[in-house]
Amino acid sequence: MTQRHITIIAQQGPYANSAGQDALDFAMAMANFGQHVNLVFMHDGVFQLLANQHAESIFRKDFTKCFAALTYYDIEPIYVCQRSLAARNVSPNDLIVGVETLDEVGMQALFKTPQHLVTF
Amino acid sequence: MAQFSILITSAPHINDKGLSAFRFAQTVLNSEHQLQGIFFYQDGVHHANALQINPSSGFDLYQGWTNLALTHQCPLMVCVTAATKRGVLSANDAADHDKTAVNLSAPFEALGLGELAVLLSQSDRLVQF
Amino acid sequence: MNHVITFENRHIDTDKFGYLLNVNDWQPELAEKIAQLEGIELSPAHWEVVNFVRDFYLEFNTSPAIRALVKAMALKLGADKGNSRYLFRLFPDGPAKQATKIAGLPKPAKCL
Repeated sequence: MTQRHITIIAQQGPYANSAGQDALDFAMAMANFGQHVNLVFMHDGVFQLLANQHAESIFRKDFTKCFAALTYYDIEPIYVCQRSLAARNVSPNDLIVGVETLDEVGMQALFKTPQHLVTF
Repeated sequence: MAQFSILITSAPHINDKGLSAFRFAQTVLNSEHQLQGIFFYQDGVHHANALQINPSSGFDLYQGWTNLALTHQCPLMVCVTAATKRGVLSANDAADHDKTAVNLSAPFEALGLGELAVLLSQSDRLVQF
Repeated sequence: MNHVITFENRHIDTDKFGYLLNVNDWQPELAEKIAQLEGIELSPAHWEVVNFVRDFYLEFNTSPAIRALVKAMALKLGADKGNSRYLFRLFPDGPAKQATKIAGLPKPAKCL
């Protein structure tokens, strides 16, 4: 099977809908079947990466705990858009570990490789 | 010539993305390019619901997908987890979960996301609606 | 219709396929019982995988798909255990399916 680069953009907050969980399932399934996956968080998607979430208190499963397992799917690092963080006054220090912050040059570089792009 | 795949993640009827996807699919199939398959995920799985009743004044998109699949042998693949969660059930899934109704049937197929990985590995271009 | 495993005179709720509905109902003695229903006699090698999969779930809120299980086991226990041939020999119906069931975890999504 030809390995393709698949870049998945998560751009919505974690709990208003199931987009975050769907993006994660999508990423793991593609990686499990041998594809090269980049996972990028931008816009409100950056809120998915906040450390120490307590989703159970609003009757939701904390799917964000699973980000730490993505290394076993060779999905690493997880990328986050610096500009989206700054616009929301979120510091990289507030995020889970294993996240690489990308400035505009970094973001552009990421999209230079030919790839499939999927947005959630 | 390029190999295309289509990913549909939006529900029918709430906006025009489904129709855009359909017209895009038709355009690819009538060009020198090829369409490897169409995959339905998230709310897109509602396209596969066979119990949709189309008001007679509008284009019947469900019938459109069905005709397109049969005419061009283009697979219509539906994420089984997303579909069962939303009550779109193949005969197998209905039996697995002790449900009495079935509303997903050929040419739509309930499959895993792994099938999409295979599709993508064979595609030069993925277009999401 | 309800599905149960009878264990120490109690009824433990499962889904139709024998996966526990409540992860906290699990205990090692129950694992022996589930394994028996699967036709597996648990050796120390089986236990190592069952515990590994359960710890993985409790840490990350998800069961590992086969690729992740192989890589995680290779990193923690070495390449002779972190390979799919070894894992399939222990769990012939598929480690991602069977080891999770014996470990008391929910049925992995069909689409993964």
